[in-house]
Amino acid sequence: MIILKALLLLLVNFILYMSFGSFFEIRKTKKWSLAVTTAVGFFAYYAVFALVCLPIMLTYRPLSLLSLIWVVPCALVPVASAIIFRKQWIMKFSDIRSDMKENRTFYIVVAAVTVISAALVVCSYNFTLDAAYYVASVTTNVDTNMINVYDPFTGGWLDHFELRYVFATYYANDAVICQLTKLPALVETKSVMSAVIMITVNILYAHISRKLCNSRTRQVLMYVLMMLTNYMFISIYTASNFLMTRTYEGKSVVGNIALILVFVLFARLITDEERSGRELLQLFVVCLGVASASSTANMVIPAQVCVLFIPYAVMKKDLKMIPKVLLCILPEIVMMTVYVLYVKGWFAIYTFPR
Amino acid sequence: MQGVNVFENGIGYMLKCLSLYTAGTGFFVMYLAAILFIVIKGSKRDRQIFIPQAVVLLVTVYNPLTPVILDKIFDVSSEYYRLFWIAPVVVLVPYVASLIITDAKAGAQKGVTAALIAAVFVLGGNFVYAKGYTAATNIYKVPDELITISEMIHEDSDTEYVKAFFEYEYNMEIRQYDPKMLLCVDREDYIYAVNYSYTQEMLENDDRPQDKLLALLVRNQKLYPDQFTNALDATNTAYVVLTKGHPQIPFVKSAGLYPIGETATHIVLKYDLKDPYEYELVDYSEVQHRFSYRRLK
Repeated sequence: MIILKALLLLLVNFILYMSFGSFFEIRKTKKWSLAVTTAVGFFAYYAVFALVCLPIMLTYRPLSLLSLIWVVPCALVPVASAIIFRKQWIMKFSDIRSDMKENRTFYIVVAAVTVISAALVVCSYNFTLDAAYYVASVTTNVDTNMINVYDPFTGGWLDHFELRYVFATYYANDAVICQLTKLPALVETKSVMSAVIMITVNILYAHISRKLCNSRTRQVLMYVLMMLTNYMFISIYTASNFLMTRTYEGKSVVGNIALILVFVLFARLITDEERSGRELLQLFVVCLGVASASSTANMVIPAQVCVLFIPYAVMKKDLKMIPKVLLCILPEIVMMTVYVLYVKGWFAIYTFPR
Repeated sequence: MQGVNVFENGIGYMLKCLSLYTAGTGFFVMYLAAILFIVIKGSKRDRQIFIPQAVVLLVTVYNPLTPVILDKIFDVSSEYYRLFWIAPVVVLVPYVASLIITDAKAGAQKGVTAALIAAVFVLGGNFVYAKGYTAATNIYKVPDELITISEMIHEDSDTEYVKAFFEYEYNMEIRQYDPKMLLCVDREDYIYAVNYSYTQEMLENDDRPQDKLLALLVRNQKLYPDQFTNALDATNTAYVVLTKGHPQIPFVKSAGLYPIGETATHIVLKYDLKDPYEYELVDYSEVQHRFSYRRLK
């Protein structure tokens, strides 16, 4: 029963991501990508969740209230999205079906590698110190029906919120899902979210190989070699290691989905016939959403955005683009500033009104 | 990054960091080779995508001065390596490899090229499962024994929440499975105990009774039985879970703890607390739901 529930939840997650992402990717007169829709939708989902979660958490409201409120966008967005984008979805799935007939080998290889990789990470046992915080924060939040006011390590009450983690509402979402579905936290985090992340990464890899390579053989080769790189580029520090062994963690989301998606959005500016003119809006959504996954994003994402987009703006002599790019990374800059002030002892946010 | 910091290494930090990051794999060298390939043989589009970012990365992230400058503002020693993630190794290396293979002449040359590139990927890397693949034995992905121990303790206890001491791995895993199991030692304290001994001064500090538990059960430092039981009382710890071969089991038993059960590799010992108190969650039902913070400076 738990396995069936987890599989259903996996499917629901992707429906939600596609629904959220459609608002940022689909334009009626232009080509659009299902892969980019799903990946941007992933971050749109977590961005909206963070905006709902933080006021509830910081005013000591119970997790059950957040769960109750979060049901509303989860129900409304797919319905609204289906009403608005139904035709585009149907056309896209029909295009994909005919594309499958022409590129059968590519789809079979992608499906096989994705399923094998997801199964490997879902079925493996890994001991990591960080899980002692991340997963335990989910179990603790569900058990206490509060959000981040108890110490996941010991279960004791916290005097003030630990700001290193408090904006990482990605795990609070896991707690909400566990509360709503009664799924054990370890299953939601280490199985469902591991599979979600591995599948999303493979969707992006398939998209990149299709866009960069013009021959079918080359597309298959590139995709397979991308995944092979993840299996082989292993030290305890590489993003590939996070993907293969700590898949469900926010750091894995930053290193393997956000960085790749920002690269895809950048490459679109240069190459793509699917260029929508919304790349910077999508970039903002990614930056906002990924800030809720891990504090690592506060350092890595602004750096990557500046490395990719500012030289592009300078080379294209489009200097008006630079302030827009800087606006995209504003969530990370704000969070980094808040965190630095907290670490330097400027303020504390209490877990009880004083 | 473990054992390497900017303060000690200065401009040598970046290279040390990169060396630990790549850990003997050839993928970063392959990335540099792939950039060179794109510069020489890449299309205009490929050069526009991959070259400007490579140049900017070279003068920023891979500039030995950058971590030194950044460290004056933030402590970047432990996390600087994450900036290496920005280089699109996982995209560019496979892309160039696929170009080389498909551009090779059909027949033997293509086969040899493909085999050579496959060899470079495999021999130049560290396979994620090189030390074996450990499959989870249950859907919770924690050891079966941990689940048994959790059930054993809750069955024995009269209270909803119980506090226990576990050894390293179980200490990190138990609350992922069982949030009603409280711990007397948090992660950072445990990591300290794994690496450092406790001084006499530390052991005499009654504000930190958990240090006495760690000194005895992790460092095997000498303690009087009443020091140990007083620490259990002070932390309200009623259960101690140890591996069967733990050298302190005779001492712990002599201090008054008694076994309530065991699994294949662990023994669960109980201590009758002198003045037990029941853990209760904080009542938020009556509080004003307003944001509360304080400016400290």
